[in-house]
Amino acid sequence: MSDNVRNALVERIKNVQAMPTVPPTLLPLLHMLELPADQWDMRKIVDLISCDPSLAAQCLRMANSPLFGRSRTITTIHAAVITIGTGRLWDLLTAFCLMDLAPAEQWLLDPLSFWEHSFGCALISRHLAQIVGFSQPDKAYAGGLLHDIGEMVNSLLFPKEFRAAADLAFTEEISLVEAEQYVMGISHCEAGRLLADHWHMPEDLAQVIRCHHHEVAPTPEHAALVMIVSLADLLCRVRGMDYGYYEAVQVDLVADPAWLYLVREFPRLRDVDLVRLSHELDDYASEAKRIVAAVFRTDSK
Amino acid sequence: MNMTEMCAESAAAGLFGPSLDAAVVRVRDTLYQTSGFFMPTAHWPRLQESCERRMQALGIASLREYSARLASASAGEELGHLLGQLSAGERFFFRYPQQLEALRRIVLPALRLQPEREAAANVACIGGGEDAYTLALILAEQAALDGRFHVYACDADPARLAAARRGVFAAAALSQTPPHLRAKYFRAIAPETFAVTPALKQHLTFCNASLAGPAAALLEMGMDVIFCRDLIARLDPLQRRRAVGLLAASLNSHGYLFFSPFESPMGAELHHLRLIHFPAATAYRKVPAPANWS
Repeated sequence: MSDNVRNALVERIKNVQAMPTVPPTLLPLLHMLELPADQWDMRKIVDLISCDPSLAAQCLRMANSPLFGRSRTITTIHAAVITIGTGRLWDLLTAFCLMDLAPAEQWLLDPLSFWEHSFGCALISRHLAQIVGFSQPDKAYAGGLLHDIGEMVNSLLFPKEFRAAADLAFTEEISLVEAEQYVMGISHCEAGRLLADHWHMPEDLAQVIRCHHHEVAPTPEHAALVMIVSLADLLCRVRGMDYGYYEAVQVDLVADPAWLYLVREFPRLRDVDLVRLSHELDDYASEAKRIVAAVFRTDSK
Repeated sequence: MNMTEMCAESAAAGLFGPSLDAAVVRVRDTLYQTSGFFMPTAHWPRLQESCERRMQALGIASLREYSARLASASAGEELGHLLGQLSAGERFFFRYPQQLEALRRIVLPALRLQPEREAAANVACIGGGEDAYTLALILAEQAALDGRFHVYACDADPARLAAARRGVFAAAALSQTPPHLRAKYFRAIAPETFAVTPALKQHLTFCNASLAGPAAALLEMGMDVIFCRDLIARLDPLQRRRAVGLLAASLNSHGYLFFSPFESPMGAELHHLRLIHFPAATAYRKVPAPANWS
């Protein structure tokens, strides 16, 4: 792909009116993460949800779903928030915001696979953050959830080119990022960064989106977050949380640049039992599938 | 209401998901620490069921009591019984298909053999021979190998070796075998009974070798791929270390060693083995020893 075509695609992203608009509740939710969970103001959260009819309806539906096993019907946002609980509240709110971004029929990838991968990556990112002692595990979760948002941009804005890239990835069993580079000359990382700027997303998350495939290096202050999500992404792809096709990838974790960086910055990672960690991460695959099934109202696999 | 208050309220109402059963966690951890066998949460019903069977045999009423017994210093024999239940391998062709996919789509294409050399594979502890023939069949289907491969199938039990050498299997053992491969590599010799074709058999050598016994093992050297599935967790730590050492020694540099998905060799790095992740499967790859290694 010539530079001219690539530049034309970038210009299209910058100028197009069809760029997904930021969900009104997403940025306030992302800013919530700047505070520790025990300082979140529950009244503000309830107000935030109440102002967004779609989000309010989703919360009520989820709180009344079999996932939470309540015998009585939940009818208020406050009760729904209590039912969902702290452990899941933020996760589900961001999911509701993001999953409505694009109608399923506009997705070129299987949306269930995409969100299972994103949720899996979010859960594993948080787990890794906790293991290494990274100070903002919930931020790592957000990074995991949003890291591939550029695929949505490519899917919505360049359906023909993205379809060709996806076909190449599927038939050659290579990574999507390689196929995008080959076919389009612009990866989902670059497209995602443009969206992140368009949405005025926090810089650390924007760098996760741009740098998680190591196409460009993150700035030192955000490198740890980027590497955590990069590693989680890799681990998802080898744990059945992929994009619905077989990627012929083999991962030697301890030789991966993200692992090497994290071991240097967080020496306690050296002591982690990799075999056990690998088994434990399997549990997240089923959890991610359960969340996505609940949100999309499909049967849990 | 802040988050702490909300947590308390939610907890009081019992709204968080069920917590992991501490006794099952303890059993799982004891098993892992002593044998390298790790049971992921998704398989806990099987773990619980196996524990219950052992509890019944021992007359133990609670899982808590059983987990305490298992964790005691003298529990070696009981661990063996439990592992026997958990890893009692069902025998059929194409077990653990994700490992086989990784072998077919990633490992074999990566071998890049010299034209004059054939791929060499070993199956240790062959059971009925299903794993050995499965491996041979996958290698036979690899166009790039063009029939240049050999599988060495080893076991310490002469009776098992003889049975595997015959290559006769009940239809049930072939239930997971793709129909076109069944048609190509098996012949029906009686109702519900199939025999491996001579053309495939010529690629296998069955040999008497022990990974765990006192006699020196006679494993072939220079292997590209080794399957040793459903064995090492049942060995004691000393035997396991020795077995993994022997397997690693017989592997080529950059060769791959597959254990069953729940097993781990514990201390693989001592034998220059590195854990490699494939889509939904893992294996160990032998890395060259450092230059100053002695």
